[in-house]
Amino acid sequence: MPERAFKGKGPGAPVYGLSCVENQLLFFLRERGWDITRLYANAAIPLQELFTLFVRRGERYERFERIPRIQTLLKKEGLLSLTRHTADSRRAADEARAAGPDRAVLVMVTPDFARRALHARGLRDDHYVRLTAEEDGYRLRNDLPETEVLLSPQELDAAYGGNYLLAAVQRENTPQDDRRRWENRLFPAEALEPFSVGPEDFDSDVLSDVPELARRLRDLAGIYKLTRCQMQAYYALAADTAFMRELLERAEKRYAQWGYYHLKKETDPAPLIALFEALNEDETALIRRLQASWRPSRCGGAVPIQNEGGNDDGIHTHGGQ
Amino acid sequence: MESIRTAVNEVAASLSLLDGQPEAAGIGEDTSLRDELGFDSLKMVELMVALEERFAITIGESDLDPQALETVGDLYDLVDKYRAG
Repeated sequence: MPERAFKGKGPGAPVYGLSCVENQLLFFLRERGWDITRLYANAAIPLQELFTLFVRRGERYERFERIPRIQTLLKKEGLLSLTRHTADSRRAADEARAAGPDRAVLVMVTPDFARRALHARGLRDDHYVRLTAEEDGYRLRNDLPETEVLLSPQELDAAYGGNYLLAAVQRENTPQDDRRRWENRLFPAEALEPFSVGPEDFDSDVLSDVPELARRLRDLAGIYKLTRCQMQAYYALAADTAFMRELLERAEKRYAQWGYYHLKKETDPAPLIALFEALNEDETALIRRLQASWRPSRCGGAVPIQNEGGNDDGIHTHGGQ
Repeated sequence: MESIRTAVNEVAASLSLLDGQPEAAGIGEDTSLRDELGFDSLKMVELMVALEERFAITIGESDLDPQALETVGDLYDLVDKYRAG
């Protein structure tokens, strides 16, 4: 069994990515000194939209694509390149050994390795981890939980899933990039509006499969709490967001509660709906308080943010290498 | 009391990063569920369900709060509460 350490939360701004690749790139950019909170510009997706996607349409957490991945945005902005390479593990290892501070190698690992060695949740079969070269082997770093394993070349080959991603910083983030991101936000927080929902909004098709309702609400809560964490970080410049901490703690609790009901295959929809109504009340309070503390004079319509450092998921594929 | 704590340790270890070896890991009352055993919120929920099954208890909705469980000792208290209730 490879040597393994549970790393725990690292230093720096918390990483709130929506996928393993996004998390790994956020870790990488944070290491390079980027203020990654400036990248959460599209966080303020309305709860009503999440309700439509997850409750009505049955969207799944691991397939959520409504918010473009940060790597997609950075690629369009010319800050990052991200290419996929189908090659053997030796090629990936060579890339990792040659990578300087501007490059990161993310390898796909087998589902079995992801679950057994990294304790990754394994919602998807294409799980990527960061590969770095050490003097006596190779280190794989998982995003959630933040575990690390040190592997020999042979162990790496056994864990390898057949392709790797190569991320390369093309240029540093600038205040102009921050300003453009602010102006092009998909979901401006200042435009959020509360919405009303009650038991009648959970249609009979959904209620006829109540355990699935618990799963849908759990997945909704998973995205909701991540995006609200992103909002708390990103909008701290434009408004008072410190109050969100308490709401985020309650959202985390509801996520767990729906997760519990899903595991227990709860057949009564009432407690599930009651939790959602409570979440919606918190969201309404969040919107009102955030907008009440808005400081347009500080924003001037666009935020003059200073950088302190530094299916379609924005990845171009190179095959046969 | 000792057998209940041992049982809680075993359940925690079986779902943790430690592959079910509480003795080797030195799990005790002060062991951190997150920082030492790697539990995230959903894993904590699995842990609570496993404790329900192991001890034939039902944890109330208000206690389904991973943030309130920091150490293995908190699990002892949770199990004690519902065994007594």
